[in-house]
Amino acid sequence: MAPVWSSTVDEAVASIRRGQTVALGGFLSTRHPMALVRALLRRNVRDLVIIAPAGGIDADLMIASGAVRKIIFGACSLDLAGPAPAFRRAAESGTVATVDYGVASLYRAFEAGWRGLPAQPARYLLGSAMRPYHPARNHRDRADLVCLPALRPDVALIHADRATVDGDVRFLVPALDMALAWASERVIVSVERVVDRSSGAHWGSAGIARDHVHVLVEAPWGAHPCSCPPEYSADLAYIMDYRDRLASDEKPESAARHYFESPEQDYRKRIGVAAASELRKLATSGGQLGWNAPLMN
Amino acid sequence: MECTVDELMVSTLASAISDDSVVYVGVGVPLCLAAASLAKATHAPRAMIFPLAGIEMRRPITLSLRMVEAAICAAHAPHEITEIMNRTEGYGVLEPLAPAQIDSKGNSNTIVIGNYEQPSVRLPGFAGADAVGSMPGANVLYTTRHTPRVLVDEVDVAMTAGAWARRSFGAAAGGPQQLITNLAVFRWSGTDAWQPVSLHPGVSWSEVRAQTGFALSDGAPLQVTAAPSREVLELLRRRVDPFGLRRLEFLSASARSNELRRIMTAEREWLVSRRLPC
Repeated sequence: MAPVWSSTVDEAVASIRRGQTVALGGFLSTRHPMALVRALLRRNVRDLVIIAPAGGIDADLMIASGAVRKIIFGACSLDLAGPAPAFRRAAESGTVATVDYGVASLYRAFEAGWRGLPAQPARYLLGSAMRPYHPARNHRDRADLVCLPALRPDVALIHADRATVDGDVRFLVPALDMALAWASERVIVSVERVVDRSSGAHWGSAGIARDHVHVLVEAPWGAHPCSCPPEYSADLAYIMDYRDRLASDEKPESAARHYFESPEQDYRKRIGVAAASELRKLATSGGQLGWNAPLMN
Repeated sequence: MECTVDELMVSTLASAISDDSVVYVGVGVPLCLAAASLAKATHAPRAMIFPLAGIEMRRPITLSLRMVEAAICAAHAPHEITEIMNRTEGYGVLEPLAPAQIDSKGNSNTIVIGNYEQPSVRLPGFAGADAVGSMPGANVLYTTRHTPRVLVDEVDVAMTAGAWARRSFGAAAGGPQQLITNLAVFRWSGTDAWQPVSLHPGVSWSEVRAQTGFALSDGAPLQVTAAPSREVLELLRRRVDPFGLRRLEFLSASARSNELRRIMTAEREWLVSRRLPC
């Protein structure tokens, strides 16, 4: 079945319902599906269970806006900008259920999901005091193994670097995105650029084939304020601003609204031409920052 | 040549990487990335370094806040994510962990401070430690905050197990075998305890004991932690980490924010002049 192109991110997420389980691509401050997340939050869909292998501002913004009932995660933080403020507050106050999974456990649970297995054994969590709280079950015969029950998310939200017109998706840095796409019932992908199959834009790296993609939408700057290598760098100043605003006395839901309420085309204007140009330069200049760059003295 | 504690920790961590090491670098750990890049630029050119999920860094890189992905991608070779995941089970890799708490038994914690069900501080979670803590083979722990609050008698939640607890699950030797702090270097001993190996220059044994939340053996270690050579230090300062990202891991939240802004300004200046600060 061929994937369907949506004309806007809002249309792309229109099928997501209250209470569904939504898996989020990307990791920490890289290539999170921010435009899709913003569109989903504008629809005010509630009671979601989110799965964040390496959550950053994507998971945090969803929690801050009150859309999340439970987070299943590998890790959640704003990376060098510090703790994820809404995640931390929600976990400490118990307003959102937290299920510590670990990145590797999530990967194996997704793998069981896409292979149609009930669970999958792995040598993880050896001697960990987290065993009683972890969804992994004891292996019947082996004390050094656990069994990870399959995860089949209702929806995967992914932002990718490239897609061909007929729907093959490619990443430069894959993270767990293929795994969560393969495991999910419905895969919604926003892409930085649509490319012609003959343009040689296949990097020979990782991707999702079009039979595993259901909805596609073109969304330049769709990962902002996260990075989308090699297109643009993470907007660290923006992420720090978010962190500080969420840490202030303002109610999280009203503070969060500032970061998703305007339509996506206006959002791009808000990044600003100068800032956007700097983020692009940073993303393309890093290769020259190496051993041949001149020093100041 | 005088070196600072961050430089000493980078070079000590780099010396834990050998030419045949396979190293996974976590996130939010620029000190560890600096060590991996420095090792690759000096004594371990053939080490395999994986700094982002699914990417191998084939050449040493210059660290930055916002150009680091581009630098890594320019030096990259793509790898299958399945291979990345399989490797931690098949034979194990070196993935230095920098937990919030480390205890006398070698357990570590990045889950919560306090009770798991009602935490006083929620921390980022396992990340890769669900697999890394169970790998065959030896691993390294480090902390930039050698205090009784970090080096505790017993961690609040044992996210990953030390060698002592691993054995009770039938695991072979392995687990955390080395601990590098801002004061000293320890090795996991045959008697199931952190055995001091060396003290950093200018650090006294009584200071180390006072800053450690569990009992250490009576005798002071004889060695002083080896400082990097002038060449290695110059390489670290001028090529591997001219913006000073390694220092971020030592800073409190507000000091870190100021430092992040300083580095962003330095990066902007680099974009204009194309000259590295150092």
